[in-house]
Amino acid sequence: MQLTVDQVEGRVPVTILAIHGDLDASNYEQVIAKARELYAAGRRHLLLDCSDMPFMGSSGVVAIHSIALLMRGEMPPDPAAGWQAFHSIDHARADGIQQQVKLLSPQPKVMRTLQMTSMVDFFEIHTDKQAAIASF
Amino acid sequence: MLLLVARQYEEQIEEKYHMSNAVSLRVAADVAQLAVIRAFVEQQARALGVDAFDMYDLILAVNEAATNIVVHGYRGRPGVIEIELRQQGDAIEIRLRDQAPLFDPTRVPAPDLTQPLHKRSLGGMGVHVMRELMDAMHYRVTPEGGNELTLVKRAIVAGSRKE
Repeated sequence: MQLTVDQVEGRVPVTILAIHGDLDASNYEQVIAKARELYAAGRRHLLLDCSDMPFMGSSGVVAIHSIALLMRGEMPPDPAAGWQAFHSIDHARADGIQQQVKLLSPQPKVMRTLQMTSMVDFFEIHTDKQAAIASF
Repeated sequence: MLLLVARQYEEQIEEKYHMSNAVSLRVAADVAQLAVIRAFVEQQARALGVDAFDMYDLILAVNEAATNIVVHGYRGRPGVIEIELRQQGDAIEIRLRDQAPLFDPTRVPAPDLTQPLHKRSLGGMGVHVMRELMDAMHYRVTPEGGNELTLVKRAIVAGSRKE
C-alpha cells in the first residue's frame, strides 16, 4: 500500500490523500499516521481518494473513523496503545455527516464494507473529484 | 508488491489436497501474511468457480477472522494459523485453526450501529462483518486444545446452484 498526497484549492484548501493498494491490519496505522501528520501541518479538509484501493478490511474502517475524529480535532488513541484503547473511546460531541473528511470513488467491494459497518451514514461519498473538492 | 506476495505465497503455502477436496495453507500469525491469506482464498475459490461477488465475501470474511487471530489472539506473540478450504455440496467451508488463547468469536455481541460516530467504538467490526457475509459460523476447541472457527457460505459453487 502506498499513500500519495496532493493539495488543491477549492473554496478552501483541500488535501487529497490517495490510498493505493489493499488497506488492512498490516498498514492501516500508516494511514492514520499520515492523517495525523497532515493535521499537525494545518490541513483541515481531507478528501480520501479510494479509487485505487481494491480491498479494505475492518481495519480500514478503523482508519477512516480515526481520521474523521482527527480532522475535527479529536485525537483518537495511538494505535500503538492497543485495540483496547480503541474499544474504550467515547466522545461527547455532536455528530452527523462529516464535513472535514469525504470519500472519493470507493470501489464497489469497498463500498460493501462501508455499508456493512454503517460508515456510509457518516461520510459524503463522491464519484467526481472536482465536485468533491468544490463540496468543502 | 504482487510479485513479493506471490513469492511469499509459494514459499509458505503448505497445500494438502485431501480426499475430502480440501486444501490448506499454514502461515505465520502476522498481519504481513494477510495478503498471502487473501491470495490463497482467491485462488482456491476461483478454482471452484465461485463468482467475483461471492469470492470477495469469502476473502473479506477470512481476512477478518485471521486479523482477529493475529491481533486479539496471539497479540504479537509468534504462532501459526492454518486455513483449510473445502467444498461441501454447493457450499464453501473455511476452517481457521490457531493455538492462541481460547476465544469464541461467535459469542461476541453485535455492535450498536445506531450510535453516532463519536460514540461508536473504533474497531470491533470484524466479527460483525463475518456474520454479515457468511451463512454460518461455528466454533469449537480442537482436540489439541486450540481454536477452530468454521465459516460457511452456501450456494456459491458454480454448477451447484439450484435453478
